[in-house]
Amino acid sequence: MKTYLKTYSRISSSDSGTSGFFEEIILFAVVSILFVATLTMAAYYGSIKAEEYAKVEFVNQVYDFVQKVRGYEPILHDSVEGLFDHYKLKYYDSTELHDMIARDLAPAFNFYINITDASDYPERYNASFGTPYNITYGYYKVVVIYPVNIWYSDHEIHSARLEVIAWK
Amino acid sequence: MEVIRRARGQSAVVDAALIAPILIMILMVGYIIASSNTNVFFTERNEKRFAEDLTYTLLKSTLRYVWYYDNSGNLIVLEDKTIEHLISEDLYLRTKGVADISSVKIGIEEKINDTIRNLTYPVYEYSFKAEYHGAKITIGSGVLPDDRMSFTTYIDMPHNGDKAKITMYVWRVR
Repeated sequence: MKTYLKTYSRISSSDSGTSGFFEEIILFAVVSILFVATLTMAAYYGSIKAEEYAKVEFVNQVYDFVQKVRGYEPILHDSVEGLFDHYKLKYYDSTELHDMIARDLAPAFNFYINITDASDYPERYNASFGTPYNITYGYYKVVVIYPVNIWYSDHEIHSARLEVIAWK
Repeated sequence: MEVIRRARGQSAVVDAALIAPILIMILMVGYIIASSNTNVFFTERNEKRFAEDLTYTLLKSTLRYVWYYDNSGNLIVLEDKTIEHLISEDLYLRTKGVADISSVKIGIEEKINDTIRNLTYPVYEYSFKAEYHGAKITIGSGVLPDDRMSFTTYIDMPHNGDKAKITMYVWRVR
């Protein structure tokens, strides 16, 4: 009697679950599609952000360069930052000064510098260094306008706009 | 009858395969939303430095010709004076009440306003304020936006060596 029951009436209450793949195949498909879509969107968004960060980095580089130009000793009066000496600006040829700045400050981009006298004096001491830019499609371009002074004499110090156009 | 119980856990592979991508998607969307407003091309560091450099450039600049009327109606002309000097002169005239203030506004402050505008247009708006013993000068916008940069310094008053407080507010408009 005992042997009979053991052979034919065995009850197993195992809690081992089935994998359930076929029961959830529709949900699985939906999640897979959404996941791929999210990955694609994230990759696209990542590429946009990477480009934006590169631009931000470039803007910061140009601002740092502007500060270096404001403190560029060969054109300063009495070594005062932001106080350009009219006679020194006049002394240098436009291309010569551009090349000096490019060599000494070594920016990692192309640049063109324009100084516009913004004072109320009839004499305007404008200056520009380099060749006006010729930017083709696909380049980054940043323009920073910054205040500076142009020293003509101790009694005549003009306000001016230092415009740096940078591209790479 | 013998009951055999096997208490092994249920396989959760499929559940994990569903939940993991959902969690990853939630994290990605959360990151995208969180980082979407962090793009700042013009950083606070650069803007603050601009306010400072604008202030010192302005104070060092000279104006060729400014004027005002004193209380007796005499035309007073000042030539080749630094804006720092003109601001302190303006504050002095206001505290002493010895000049026609409307002429000071036109003959001095409007010229200073032109200079600041020439240095900032079209990128920034500005408000320049100077204070000394209750006398106040405001040049530029009278209304300050919340998102702005400022720089404060002090200049010497020419007649007694006191200090006058000046503050330059700037904010980007393009």
